[in-house]
Amino acid sequence: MSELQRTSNRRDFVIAAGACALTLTSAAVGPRAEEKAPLLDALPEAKAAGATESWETAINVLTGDAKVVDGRIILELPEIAENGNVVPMTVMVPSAMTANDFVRSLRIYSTGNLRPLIATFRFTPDSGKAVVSARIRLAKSQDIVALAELGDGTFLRRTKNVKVTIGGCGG
Amino acid sequence: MNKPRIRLPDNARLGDIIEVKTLIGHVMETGLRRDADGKIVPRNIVHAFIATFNGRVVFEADLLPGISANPYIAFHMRVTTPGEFEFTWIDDTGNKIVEKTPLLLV
Repeated sequence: MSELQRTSNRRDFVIAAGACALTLTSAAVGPRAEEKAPLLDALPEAKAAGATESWETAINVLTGDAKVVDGRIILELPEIAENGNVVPMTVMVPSAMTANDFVRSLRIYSTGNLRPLIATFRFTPDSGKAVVSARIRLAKSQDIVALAELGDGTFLRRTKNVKVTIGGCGG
Repeated sequence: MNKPRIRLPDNARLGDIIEVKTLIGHVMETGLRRDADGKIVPRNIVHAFIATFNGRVVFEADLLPGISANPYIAFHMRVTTPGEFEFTWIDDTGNKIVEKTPLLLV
């Protein structure tokens, strides 16, 4: 590929994220980068990775007709992430976590990475608290969406924007 | 995968909800990157993490390439009995690491 990408591969050999590929490719296609679907389709890597689905589609397929309430989830992310390769995240879903009332799962979606789903966390009543921390990769500044599935089949959803200074890998 | 690191509180009591911090060394190769010859480096990530306590699943995670290298995962558990954690990480090459850690109560 481009000189830029080869340089990046050497420099960030160990930690370079797939996210980087997206950033660099986006730069190459210019204004069209905003059009998510054509961009993903144009990337053989993305197809091979099963990334043809947009984050909206992924969420709609999962939630179907179920009720989705915005808010309540506490989504802790830095407002500005200097390094898109390692962005600390803590998500808290308020819940009693009893056998009848608990958070079944929590999914984290990226709106700007090549692949929308970042992780699925599954809790049990033994979890006590539906709180999880992890470190995620962000290709560029974007919204992160947390979607929690409750025991009664309804969903909670929260979105937070993160500005990424050094997107993915120094691009 | 490197040997995992587990951090449990050292003053846990029955009835507490404790935070369990886990970290394992892994490259989390996304499958999108190309090597110097322009060939795609095959995806190899830790895609599954399972935590059980006395044989009961407490917490599970399905991870994708959007998780950073050396995945750090912290979750919670309500302590109802003394016992032992068993943590399992599985990567795309089928490599599986199992770590057992007793929970000491005060």
